[in-house]
Amino acid sequence: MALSSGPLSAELTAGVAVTDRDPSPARRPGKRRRASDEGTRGGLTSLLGFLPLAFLLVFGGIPIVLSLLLMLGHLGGPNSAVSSLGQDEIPGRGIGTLGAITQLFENHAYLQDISATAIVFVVTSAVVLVFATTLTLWHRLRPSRAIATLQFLAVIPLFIPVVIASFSLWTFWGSRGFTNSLAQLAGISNALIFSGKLQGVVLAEVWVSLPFAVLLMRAGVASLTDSSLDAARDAGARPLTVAWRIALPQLRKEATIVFCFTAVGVLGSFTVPYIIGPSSPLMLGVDAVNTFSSYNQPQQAAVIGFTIFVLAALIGCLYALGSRRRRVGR
Amino acid sequence: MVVKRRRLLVGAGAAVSCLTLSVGFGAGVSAAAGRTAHAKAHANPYPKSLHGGFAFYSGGDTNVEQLWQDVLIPSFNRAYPHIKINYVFSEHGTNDVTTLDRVAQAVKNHQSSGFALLESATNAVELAARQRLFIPVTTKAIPNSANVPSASMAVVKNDAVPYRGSKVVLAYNSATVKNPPKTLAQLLSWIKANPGKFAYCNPSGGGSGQYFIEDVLNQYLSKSAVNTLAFNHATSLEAGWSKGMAVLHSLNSDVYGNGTYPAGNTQVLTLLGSGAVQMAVVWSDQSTSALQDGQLPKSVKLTDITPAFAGSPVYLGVPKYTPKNQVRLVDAFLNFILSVPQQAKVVKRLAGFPAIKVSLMTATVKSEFTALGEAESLPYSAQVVSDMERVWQQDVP
Repeated sequence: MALSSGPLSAELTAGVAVTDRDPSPARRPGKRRRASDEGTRGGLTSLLGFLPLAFLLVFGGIPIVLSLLLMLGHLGGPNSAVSSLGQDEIPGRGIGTLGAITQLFENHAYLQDISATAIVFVVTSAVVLVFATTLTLWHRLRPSRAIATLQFLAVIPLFIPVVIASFSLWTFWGSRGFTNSLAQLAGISNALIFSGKLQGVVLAEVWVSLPFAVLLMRAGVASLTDSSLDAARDAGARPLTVAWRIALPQLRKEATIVFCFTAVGVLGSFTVPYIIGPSSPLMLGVDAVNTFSSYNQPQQAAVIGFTIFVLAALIGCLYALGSRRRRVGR
Repeated sequence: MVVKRRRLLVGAGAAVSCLTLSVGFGAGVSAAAGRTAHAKAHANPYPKSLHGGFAFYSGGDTNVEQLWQDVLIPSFNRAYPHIKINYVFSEHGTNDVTTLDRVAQAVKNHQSSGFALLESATNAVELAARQRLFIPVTTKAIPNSANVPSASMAVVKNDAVPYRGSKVVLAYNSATVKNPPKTLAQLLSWIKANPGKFAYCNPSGGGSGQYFIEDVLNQYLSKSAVNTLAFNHATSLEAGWSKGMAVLHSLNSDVYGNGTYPAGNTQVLTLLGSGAVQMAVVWSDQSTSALQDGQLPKSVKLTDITPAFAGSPVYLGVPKYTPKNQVRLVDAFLNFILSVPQQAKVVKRLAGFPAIKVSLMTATVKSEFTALGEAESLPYSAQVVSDMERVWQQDVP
C-alpha cells in the first residue's frame, strides 16, 4: 500500500529492525509489545489515510451521484425532498431522461451563458498569467524597487473579502464612478463604464486572481538557477531573449498551474459576476444559483452544475497535459 | 437590508376588534393599554418560568440580524430568562433553499429538522407553508396572532405567521423631477422620455424589482387573474405575461446603463444616492432608513403610484415534528414578538410595517410609516414568482 512508504511507516520499520538485532529472551516481551504497537500504528495510519477518502466520498462523491440522478430525472429516494419542492421537473424511467439537458441546451440564452463563461475564464486566465509572469520575471531579471512595490500591491487583494471588493469595483466602474468621471473630464462620455458588463467581470476576476498567481510564479521564478541566466547574459543575450528563450521554458509547469487554477476559480465564481456582471448573458455560477434558488428548478440547476463540471474537467486535462510535457522535456 | 421580500400586508384584512396585550413586557404595554382601553386583552398563556432552548434559522441582511440579535431576542430573554435561542443567521438567505430541503426531508421522515423556527430572505418560508411543512398557527397557541390581518395569514394558509412587513414605492429626486408620475402609465412615459435615469433591480436579487415587474405585467391581466396568481400556481394564466414582458423589454435602452439591472435593492439605492439615476423603485423601509442615515439626500422623496406596487410581510414558520416542548417555547416567542411593544420596536428599528393591524399601533409609531399608507396590492405566490423571474430573465435583458 502506498501509504506504508510514509515517514511513520519508515520509523516503524526501523523499530522492527532494531528489535530483530537483539533477540535476548529478556527483551522478548518488549518485542511482542512493539509488534502489537506496530499493528496498532499501522491500523491508525490506514485509518488516517482512509479518512480523507471517506470525507471526499461522503461530501463530494455522494452529492455528485445524487445530482447526476436528479439530472436524469430520478426524483425519488434521496432526491425526493428536493424534488417535492422543485418546479418544472421532468421525471425519468429506467436509466433516466435527457429531457432537462435538452431543454437547457435548446435554450439559446443558456448557450450564450456557456459562451460568456468560457470567454471570461479563458481571457481572465490568460491576462492573469501574463501579468503574474511579467511581474515576477521582470523583478528577477531587472530587480528594482518599483517592481517590488508592484509585486507587493498585486498580493493585497488576497486580504480583501471578495464581496467588499466587488461592491467597491461596481461603484468605481459605474456611471458616477472614478473611471467614467475621469473619461468625462477628458471629454469622452460613458467610455469607461465597466459595471454590468463582461469586461468588468474580467477585470474584477483578474484583480481577485492575481495574488495567488503572483505568489505561485514568484516561487517558480525563484527556482530558476542563476547559472543558466548568467550564461545567457554572458553570451550577449538581451533580457527579453533571456526571458523568452531561457526562463519561460523552465516555467511551463508553473504557468500551467496558474492558468488552470485561475480558470477553475473563475469558472465556479459567483460573487464577482453576480454583483458586477450583466443581467444577460450570465456566468454559469450565477445561472446555477438563480436556477436553483430563484427559479426553483433543482433538476435544471443540476444540469448547469454538470456543465461546469465538464468544463472544469477539460481544464483538468489541460493541467495534466501541461505537467506531462514538462516531465517528458526533462 | 433584506434581499427579497414577498407577500403582502393588506390593509383590508378582517376587522380586529381587540388589542392583544402581552402581559408584563415592559413599559410599552401600559402605553398601549392606555391608548386602547376599550380593547379586549388576550391572556398570555406562557409563564415566565418556561425554560429550555431552540434553534432559529434566519435569512436576511445585516439589519435583520441586528434586529434579532440586538433588539428582539434580548427583549425576549429579559421577559423569559430561562429560554435560550440559538440564532443561526444566513446573510442574504444564501442557505434558505438548502435549509428548506433539510426541513422537507426531516418532515418526510417524521423527524425534527433541528430548527424549531424559520425565517427566509427568499420565498422559502412561504413555499414551505404551501407544502404543508409547518405546524398550523392557532390563536390558542399564539393569542397575539389574532391581531394579524387575515389576508396575510391566508397567503400562507395559516401555516406561518408574519412578524414585520414593508412595501415597494417610487423614489425620485425632487431637485430634478418636479412632477413625479402618479400612475404606472405616466411612469413608463417618464422612463422613455428620460433615458438612463431610471433603475429597477434584477427580480432574482431584489423584491423591489420584482414588484415593479409585477405591476407592469398586471396591466394586461384581469383582476381575477391577478388574484388567482397571488394564491395559486396557475401556470395557464402566465401566458398573459407576454405583453407586459414585451413592454419591459422595450425599456431596455431607457433604463440605467442601457439595460443594466443592478443585482439587488441596495445597489439601486446606491445609484439613487450618487445621482446616477433620478428615479427608482425601492423598499419603503430601506429607503426611509437610508434617508434617516443620510445615505440618500434629503431631496429624494418617496411616493405611491396607481396601481400601487405590492407590499410584503416576512413570515416565520415552525416545522412539523419539532419536539412539543420546543414548540411551546417557540409559541411563547412568537406571541411575544407579535405584542404591540415589540412590533413598535420592529417599526422603529427597520422603518417597516408592523405585522399586526396598523390601527393597533400608537400614534407615534404610526407616524413613522403611515405617510405612505399600507400596501394595497397582492404580490404573486411563491411558485408564480419563480416562473416570473425565469421568464423575465429569458425575455427582458
